[in-house]
Amino acid sequence: MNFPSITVSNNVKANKHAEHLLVERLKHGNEDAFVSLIRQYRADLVNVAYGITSDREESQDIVQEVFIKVYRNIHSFNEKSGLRTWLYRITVNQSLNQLRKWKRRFNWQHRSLTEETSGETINPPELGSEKFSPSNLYEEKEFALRFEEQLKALPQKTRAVFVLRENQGLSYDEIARVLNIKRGTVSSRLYHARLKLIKALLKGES
Amino acid sequence: MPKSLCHIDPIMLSQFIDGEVRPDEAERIRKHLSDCPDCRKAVNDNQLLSSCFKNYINLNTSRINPSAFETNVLAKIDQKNEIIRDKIKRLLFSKKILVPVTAMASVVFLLLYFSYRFTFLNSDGPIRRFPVQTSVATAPSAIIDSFSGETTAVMIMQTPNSHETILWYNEKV
Repeated sequence: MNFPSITVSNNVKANKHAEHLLVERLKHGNEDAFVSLIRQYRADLVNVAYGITSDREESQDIVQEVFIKVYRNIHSFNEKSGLRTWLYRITVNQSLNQLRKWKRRFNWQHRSLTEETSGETINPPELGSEKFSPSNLYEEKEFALRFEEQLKALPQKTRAVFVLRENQGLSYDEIARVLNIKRGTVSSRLYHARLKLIKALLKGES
Repeated sequence: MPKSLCHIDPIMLSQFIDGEVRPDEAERIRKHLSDCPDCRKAVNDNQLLSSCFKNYINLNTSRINPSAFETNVLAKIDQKNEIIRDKIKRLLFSKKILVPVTAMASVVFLLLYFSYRFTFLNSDGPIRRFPVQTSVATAPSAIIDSFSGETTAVMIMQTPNSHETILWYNEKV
């Protein structure tokens, strides 16, 4: 039975055609096309920006700037890479630039766990235990803070790879295209990000 | 990642989690997982980490108001367009542009005016215009026109092939 693969290939073709039409309309300055672009990609791009910056306001501003850049530079988009890849690339670059800008002005504000919990040190729940389920974990503010801290401690470029894979589900090849790096680099950055995050989260166990 | 000395490369295990290994390798790792509790734990830890990260992002970004976001982007674009238009206007009508352009125009006008006076006007008598040569010269280096006044003599010639005009001017002392 070859039907499923034919359907997938037809869907891919239809998506590419729809994307091409959208780009054409954008190049003609069609405002409705621009609004539909925002509606289609806003959530994903904000997620990517947030995964890198860990700041909601900042990530909103970044993605707003991304859309403004797209509006102004759509004529230079040659459709060699997909529209999605192009948008991800601008968002990641904009997020990393924003971080560099802030880093020059201030250092990251490190919130220690003891500051907010009046001297108590909180141990995260044990990995693999029943309590360590995603929904339970996020009811615990301390764990969220700890997770955020460890995430911020990752190198920025590693964080970009991690968010594109874990949140957006991009393949290694797609990530390599977005960030203009080798597939092997994607693989090793992902491995090290996971290693560091799991180690850090397990620290409280021992 | 597994601490034990099993033969699975931890980077490959990470690639397996992402579905980025060849089918035969995936099969080999799947078989290995059924025998290796350390690697199984590593896979589970990674899956939990993945869920935690997704929750972390969604929890923090889901509160963003989409329509306010859209309005902000469109307003910013309008605002930026307005700023660009203003800048162009200010630039065009600023002294930085207006003064040099006016000065240049005056210089060009004066140059044209004086070159016209020197070329076409006779200072001793009434204005005399040269007859305009429109026909193509056929003979070798021909005198097209010549005239002389009380103090000057002018001769207009044309070269045979390139049809360039030569002006000869002599002032009588």
